[in-house]
Amino acid sequence: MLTSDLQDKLEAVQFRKIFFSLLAVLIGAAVCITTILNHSFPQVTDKVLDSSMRTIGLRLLSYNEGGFVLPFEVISILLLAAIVGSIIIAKKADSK
Amino acid sequence: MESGVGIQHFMILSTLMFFIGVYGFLTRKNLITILLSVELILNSVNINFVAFNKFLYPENLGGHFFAMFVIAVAATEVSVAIAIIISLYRKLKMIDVENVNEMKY
Repeated sequence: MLTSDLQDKLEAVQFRKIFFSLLAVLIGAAVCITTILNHSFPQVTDKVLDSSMRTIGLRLLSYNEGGFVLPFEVISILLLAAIVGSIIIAKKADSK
Repeated sequence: MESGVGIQHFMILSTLMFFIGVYGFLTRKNLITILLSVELILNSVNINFVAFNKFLYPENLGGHFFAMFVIAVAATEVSVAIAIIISLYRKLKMIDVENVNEMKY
C-alpha cells in the first residue's frame, strides 16, 4: 500500500536488522556525543546576532559582498526543474 | 544570552536526531518512511548550521542562509522522490524496498 491503514500492523522488522542498526547507531551516537562533550567551543558573546526578517531579506537579495542572490536564483531554477521533472515522472504513462 | 543553553546542547540534539534518522533509514522497509528518515537527517544538519551561526559567528548570517538553501534542496528532493514512489506504486502496487529493484541496472 502507498500508505497504511489504521488496522494494518506495523511492519515486522528482522531481529538481525534491528540489532546491527542499533549497534551502528549507538556506536556512532556515542562517538559523536563524547567528542562534543570533550571539546570546548569558544562562544562569541560580544557580538549580537541580527537575524531580523528585514536583515535576512536584504542579505538574501543583495549582490554586494556577503549577499546571497546567486544561490537564491540557482535554487529557484532548481525548484522549477524539480517540479517539472516530478510532474513528468508521476503523470500517467498512457495519457497520449 | 539564553540562560544555560549552550552550543553543546544543540549539537547533542542534532546528533540524536541524526542517528534516529539513520536508524529509521536502516530498519524501515516502506519507501515513504525512509524518505521521512532522510528528512530527519537533513533537519538535524540544519539545527547544527543555525546553532554554529548563532554561537560562533554571530556577525554574519551564513548559517541561516545555508539552512534555508538546504531546506529548498530538501523540498526538491522530496518532490522528485515522491514522484518516483507514485510511479513505482502504479507499476508494482506496493512500495517496499525489497521489491523495488527495477531501477538497479
